[in-house]
Amino acid sequence: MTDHHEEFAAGTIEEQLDTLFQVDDTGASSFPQSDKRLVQDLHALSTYTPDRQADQASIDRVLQRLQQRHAASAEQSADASNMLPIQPHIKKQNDQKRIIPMQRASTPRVRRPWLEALVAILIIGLFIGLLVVFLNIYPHMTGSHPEIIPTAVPTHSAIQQQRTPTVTSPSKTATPVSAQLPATQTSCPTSGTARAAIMTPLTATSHRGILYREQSATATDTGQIKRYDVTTGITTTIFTANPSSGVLDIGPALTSAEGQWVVFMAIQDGNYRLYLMRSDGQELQTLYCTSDPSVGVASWSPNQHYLILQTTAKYHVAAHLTSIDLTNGNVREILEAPNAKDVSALQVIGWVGNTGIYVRYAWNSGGVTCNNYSLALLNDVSKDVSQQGSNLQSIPLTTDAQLQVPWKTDTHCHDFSVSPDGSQLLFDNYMTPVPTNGMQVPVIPTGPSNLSLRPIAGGDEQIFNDAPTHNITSAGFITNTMVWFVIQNPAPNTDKNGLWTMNTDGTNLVHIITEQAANNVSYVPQPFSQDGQEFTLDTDNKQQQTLAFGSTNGGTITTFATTQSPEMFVLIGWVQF
Amino acid sequence: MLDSIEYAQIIQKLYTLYATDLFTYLRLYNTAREDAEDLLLEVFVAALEKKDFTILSEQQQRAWLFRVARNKTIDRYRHQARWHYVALDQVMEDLFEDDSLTPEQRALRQEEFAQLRSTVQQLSDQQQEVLHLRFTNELRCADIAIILGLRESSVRALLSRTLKHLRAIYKEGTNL
Repeated sequence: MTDHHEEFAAGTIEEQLDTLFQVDDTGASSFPQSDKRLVQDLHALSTYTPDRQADQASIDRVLQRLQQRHAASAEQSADASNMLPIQPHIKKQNDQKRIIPMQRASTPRVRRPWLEALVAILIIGLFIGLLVVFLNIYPHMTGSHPEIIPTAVPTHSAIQQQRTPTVTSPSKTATPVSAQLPATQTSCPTSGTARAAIMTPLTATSHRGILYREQSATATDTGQIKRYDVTTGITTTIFTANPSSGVLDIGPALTSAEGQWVVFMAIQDGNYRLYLMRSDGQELQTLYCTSDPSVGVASWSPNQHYLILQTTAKYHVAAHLTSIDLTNGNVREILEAPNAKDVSALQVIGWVGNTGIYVRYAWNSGGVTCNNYSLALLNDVSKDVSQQGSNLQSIPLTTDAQLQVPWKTDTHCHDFSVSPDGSQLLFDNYMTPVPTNGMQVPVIPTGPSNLSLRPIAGGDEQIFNDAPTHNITSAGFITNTMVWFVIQNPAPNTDKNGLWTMNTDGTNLVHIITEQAANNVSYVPQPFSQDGQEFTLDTDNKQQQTLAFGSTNGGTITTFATTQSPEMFVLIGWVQF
Repeated sequence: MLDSIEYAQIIQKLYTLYATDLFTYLRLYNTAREDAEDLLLEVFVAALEKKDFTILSEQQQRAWLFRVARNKTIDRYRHQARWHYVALDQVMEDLFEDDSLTPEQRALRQEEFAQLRSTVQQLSDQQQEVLHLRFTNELRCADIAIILGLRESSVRALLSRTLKHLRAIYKEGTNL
């Protein structure tokens, strides 16, 4: 008998597994088909326990402890009937700490100051010893990369190699001779510290490229960073995660403002490493290591001196931001959310000069559909979180551009973004359906919506795009005077759907991508080139994922990567080399 | 506001629904039974501290509980967050005792299972995690996406790729 099952396809994986989980028909063979055996064995592997009786005893014990705890709490709160029987007293205590030892919930920990002092002395001694050893060894170290070998084998894209009308012909590649480059290190710096970046600039840059991450799950290749040269149409792999060298999955990545550098996270030897690499694949170096999987790269200062890392909220640990001074390796926590429960993330959405950042607080929804955010300015990213009180300034987000609401069932939402120079706020005012808790399918409104602009320091707000019959779902700045926005009207009014650009004075309105092309299009945080002349596009229709780029002036959209496996590609940004 | 009796009932109901699956999940991470017990207790305490937990749908509750279990496990075992597998011989003895299998079929099943276990252990942490979340309690891709902080389509793609990879082990032997 042959195996007639189809391949596991991402789009239908849920349904395929449901079918395979179903009980065999009467009289079915006890030796099922291969896919069914795979699913059965995976289930067994995940749920197998050698002693179910012992497990049940454990579960009973925990229930008993839970009930005891509940009863004790109920007694304590007997005089306060409105309070919850089980009070979060452990949580409150833990919220004040960055690193929280997991307490045994039923047994309070006994503090032993003398023991803590002893441990602290031992740790300091160990640290000094390691430092001495490191300083002795360091001068003899070479700049080679023992764990990682960046690959730089150019391969012609097998997809399409159309030229865009706006690109210029290549003159020459500007990759300097590697022997002239200073040595870099890829080992982890001491825990809790960062390494100063070595950033030798390229001597000349005549090519522009698009960096993207390609995920893979083969035994020898778990991911690559590739660079598509928009001038020549050549795709080059500039970094490969190779399990044999200990590097697994490549994580979030970010290109620098001038486009010569990229930072990215990668898992190596159980640590999450922050790598810095030049756009030509040279100068790979490890800047920082952490064991926290929730750390991601958030933003890079315009002069590339500061890198901001964001850590999303975890249970008992509040979301926070950390800055790394790339010139000297100083690392410090600079901002912390009020608590772990209410704010899920702190997002850096803009810079003021090279030291101030605009931070968007993403508040947990609590059932609210939109407007779950606030905005603040952190004046100086070189100041420690202990100075947060005087360093932080709230920015009001009230918008005067109220919409005339024709439907009582819809909610007036507004989202915002900050101009590249940090002086203007762009508001996208739109309607969204009230959630129906699954009782019925929400109806997408056909408007009204509008775009308005306001000085961030306060002042008059001006609507520069009023769309009473369109649904503008998202918008952002390309340059200080040019914005993009997306219209997503419900059928049949789809002729205006897609990506648009326009100037903030209301002129030069261009419909870049039409409805058909805009289906399932996702717009990444860095879709536009540094000069705002070009954009990137990521389309995913569950059957095929495609990366493309085009000009903000309109014209041809060029596909440069396609895969049959959805979610294989993640766009990173534009680079120069 | 819920009173104490209502909360006791909620505890009982939640526990009946989810404790076994959560404990199995926690045991995959934690070698020590006592540690898994502690974490299970903490997960349910966290649920009861969450004021709006009771207004979540059953599916949301399950996803939330698994997410908390995962976070707590990672918090506790940051430096050794690898899955724990029971001894292979122990599994074999229990799983393939089926008398309806021929000796050849039994041998093949054991071989397949051993190879599967070995291959799964070589997968990335994220791939293993998705597999366990899917097959420990048959969590939906949408729930797994919430737990891991990924997009649902990413989970689907990851699961699809991983199963395709594992599928090769089971290509032969169906005509025994």
